[in-house]
This record gives sequence, C-alpha cells and structure tokens, in this order.
Amino acid sequence: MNRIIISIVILAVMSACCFASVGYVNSFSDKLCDKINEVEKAFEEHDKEKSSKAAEELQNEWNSFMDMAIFVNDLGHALEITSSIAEVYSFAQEQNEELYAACDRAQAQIEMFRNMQSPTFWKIL
Amino acid sequence: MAIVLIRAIILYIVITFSLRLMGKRQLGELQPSELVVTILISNIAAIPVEDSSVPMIMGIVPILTLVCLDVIMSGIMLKSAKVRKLMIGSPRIIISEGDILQKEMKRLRYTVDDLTEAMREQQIFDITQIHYAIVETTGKINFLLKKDYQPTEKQDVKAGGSTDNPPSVIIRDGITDREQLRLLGLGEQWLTKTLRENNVGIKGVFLMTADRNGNHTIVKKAV
Repeated sequence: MNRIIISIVILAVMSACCFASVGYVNSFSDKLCDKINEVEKAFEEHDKEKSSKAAEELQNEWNSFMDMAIFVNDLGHALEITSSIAEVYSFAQEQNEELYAACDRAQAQIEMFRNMQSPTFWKIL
Repeated sequence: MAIVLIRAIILYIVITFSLRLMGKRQLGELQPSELVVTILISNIAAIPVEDSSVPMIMGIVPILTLVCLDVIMSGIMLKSAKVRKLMIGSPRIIISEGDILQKEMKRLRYTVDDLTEAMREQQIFDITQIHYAIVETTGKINFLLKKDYQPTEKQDVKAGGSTDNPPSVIIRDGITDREQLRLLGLGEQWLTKTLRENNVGIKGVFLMTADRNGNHTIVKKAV
C-alpha cells in the first residue's frame, strides 16, 4: 500500500511540475516576444539608445531563462535562440536594417520553443 | 565527459529506486506489463546518457511515470479480478487428462516444438506421461504427471499412491470461480454447505482450493 501511495504522490507532483513548466514557458515566451516588439518599435522611431537598451534587457532576460530552457528542452534549440537574440542586440547597437529579420527569426524560434512545450493533441500523437 | 558521468550516476540511482518501488515481483517472472516497462526503462534511460543535448529530465519523467503507473496498476489488479484477468490473462490448460487440446494450443500460438521443449526442460521425455499441462500467464508451461509417473513421497506410501486429481482454486480474494467449480463437478450447493460448515462467507475467504472429491482447503482473509 505504501508503494501505491508513493507512486500516486510522485505521479501527482510530476504532473503538477510538468504542467507548471508549460505555463512558465508560455508566460516567459510572451514576455520575450513583447521585448522584441519593443526593440523593433524603438528602432522604427530611430531611437538608438532605447532600442539598444531594450535589446540588452532582452538578452539579459533570455540569459536568466536559459537554465530553465535547457532543463525542459533540447540544448540545440536554446543555442539557436541565444544566437538570434545576440544578433538582435548587435544590430540594434549598429542601427542595422537587418534587425527586422533578426527580430522575426528570434520571435519564430521562441514561438517554436513555446509550441514544443504545449501538449496539444497533434503533438502528443 | 563529466556531464555524462554525473548523468549516468543520477540515472543509476533513479532506476535502482524505480525497481525498488516496483517491488520484488519485478525480479522474478515478468508479467506482460512488467516486461513492457522493463524494456522501455532500459531504452529511455540510454537516451540522456548517450546524448548530452537532451535534458536528463526527459529520461527521468517517463521512467518514473511508467514505474508509478505499473505500481498503481498492480494495486488495482490486486483489488479487481476483472482488471487482473484483462491485464495479465489467466492460465490455460493445453493438456487435459492426457489429451492435447490442439485448438487451445493454436489459440495460444504454441507449437508442438514449444511443448516438447518445455517438457524436456522439466525432464519429461514422453508425452503420454503427462496428465495436465498448464500455460501460466508468464508463458511458462507447468506439467502434472500421471499417477504412475509421479515421484513417490513418504505420504504416498502411507496413502497408497499419489493423486491425479489436483486441487484447483475456486475462491480467490472473496470471488468465486464458477467455471472452475463446474469443471470440478462441484455445485454451488456444495460450496455453500462447505463454507457454512467452516463458519465463513465467500467474502471472508482469501483462498479456497478443492479437488473433484470435494477435499478442500480454506484460507480465511486476515482481519
């Protein structure tokens, strides 16, 4: 009987943690996407200082989230996002037009990262 | 390299804990569900050790999920005979009173070679010596020899011969096996009378066995 109780507890804790991680990744992805939009908006307004600052914040936020990202997903995917966000930061500082492409790429990769975590019917299958 | 070493140590601890959680049953004959879990565990555990880009949690979560489900399922099977039968099946007789039940063997996809191999493993070389052969849920075949071929025991000398009328389980965990009762030629009336004589109801019986002559053994449920 003890074994059954331990199993039920382990299963319940794991399920709670798994679904909580999905929620956490979702909310953090939203936050990162908002930040990317902020960088793009500042760039459109030709505000170099603001766009550079937002890009730096984006990079810091991603770095703080990196450990969690590696914990729940493939390392390769996390490295792709890291490199895209580093590009956003560098293009924002240079005020390079390629920033738009870098932002789109980073956003797509973050979306993909979020989608990989969501347990939708087709993904489960 | 250090990552692989640490991961291997952690997975070793997780798998040892998992097998401990599954209990001693796992170390003996495997039931179908236990076989599936054991094969899956070994495959899942290999992935995070081989590929360090895959998070280790991707190995630990499925291993613990499978083990926990197996333990919960075995708990349910302990309580419900129907679920037990559904999950692990029931023993099947393939030789009854010396006759090979070919239809049953075909249904179980057992060939004559499987039967003779199992016989040889148990030092039986002549099929005519077999009185009963039963395929257990683990796939193992057990044999009961005819009276003349059974090894003599001290009790046989006193009784004048061993039996070829083996006792069968007719009540397990408070549930009557009516089919078995019918095969033994003992009716419900005999069962009711016997239980009344022993001052116990069906629900109070943990195990009851009986042979065709009505010789029986009752193990009452522990309070």
